[in-house]
Amino acid sequence: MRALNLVPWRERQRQTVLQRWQIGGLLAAAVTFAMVFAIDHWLANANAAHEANMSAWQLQQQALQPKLQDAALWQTRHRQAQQVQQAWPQWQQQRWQAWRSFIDFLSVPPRGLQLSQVEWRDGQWRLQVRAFNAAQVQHWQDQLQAHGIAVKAQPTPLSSQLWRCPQGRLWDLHTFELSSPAPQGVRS
Amino acid sequence: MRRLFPRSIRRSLGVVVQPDGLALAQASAPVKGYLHIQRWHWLALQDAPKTHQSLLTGWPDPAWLRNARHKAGCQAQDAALSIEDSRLRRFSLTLQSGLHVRDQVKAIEAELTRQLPWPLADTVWDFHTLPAPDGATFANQTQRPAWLVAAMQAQSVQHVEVLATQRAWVAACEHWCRAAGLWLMRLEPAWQAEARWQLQSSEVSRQAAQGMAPQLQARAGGLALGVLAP
Repeated sequence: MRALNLVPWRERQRQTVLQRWQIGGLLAAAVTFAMVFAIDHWLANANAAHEANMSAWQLQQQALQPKLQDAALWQTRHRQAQQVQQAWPQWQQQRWQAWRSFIDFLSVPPRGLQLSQVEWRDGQWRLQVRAFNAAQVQHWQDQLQAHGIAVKAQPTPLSSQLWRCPQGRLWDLHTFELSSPAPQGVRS
Repeated sequence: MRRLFPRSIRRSLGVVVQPDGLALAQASAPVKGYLHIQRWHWLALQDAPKTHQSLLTGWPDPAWLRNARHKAGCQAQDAALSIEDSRLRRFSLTLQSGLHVRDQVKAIEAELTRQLPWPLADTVWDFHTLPAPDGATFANQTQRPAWLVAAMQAQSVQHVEVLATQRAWVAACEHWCRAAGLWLMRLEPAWQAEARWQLQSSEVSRQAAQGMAPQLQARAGGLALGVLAP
């Protein structure tokens, strides 16, 4: 069955679809705008409430401050906190120096030696090294010197003990102490 | 103003304008029921005032039609009009098969631009894709050999029937309907309305139109049915 219709229904259908898209687009834009506005409004309210809380806490703290200044425990804690605050940059620097020095030591592999103790105190290194003889320690020390790492000239022997190797042979194992020179201005 | 929510019973009005009168057929389609012509009416035009619309010479004044159809009890607002063959341009075009509707429309527009004596912008047109002919029937009808019929069916083309008329006349019809309190839903050739009547009308509807000329009855009834079940 033919269904020819000379009322311009195709054009109207196209216009209706276009109009629906336009209305849909406008609605989507309006909904998006409303959502963004609502979220913005909610965030602004939350921020204002937070700031109000903060100012209330500050006021409360300011009100409590005169009372705390009279308390002995508060005075002690306050002084300790100030000391920690003052010493903090220096501690940070020392920690950084210790870390750098440790990396420097490890950059020269102690072949044939056993590092039994590494200690950093007041800007100075103290190492305890186990070796069969002083020449091995001296060799590592020379390598360290070649890499620009200053270690005291003479290793100090501390103790010695017998050590049996896996092949059953007995060795005399000595413990030496090495230390770095004290840096300027740092108590060794 | 059209209703936002459709009523439970849809009604439509087929209007056929004749030199001496107007044939009205009102069809109704209940939600649970059969489509049928509910009311027939003939309005004589000898005393009716004529419309001032120059393109619709001889048509009655729409205000008069509004009153007359209310008196006749025709409440339907969705209307269909027939268009005379003299106002129509009819084309049979051959298009490549498998085209999207958008491409079909472009191809038809290009052809209409070439063939119509007036600009395409001033044209309202519609098209209908003709079904491919059945092989046996086609061979019997045309007395062509079977191999020729098979070859003709194998070609990748489709035939479309295009009707075109001037936009100004369609706009005048729509304006006239609007002034008469009607909403023009369909504007179609009389032969299409008559064919629909032959296919879809019920015995009850035919008997109700006693006294009206059969061709007029078929045309008005087909138009009214076309609005509800195109």
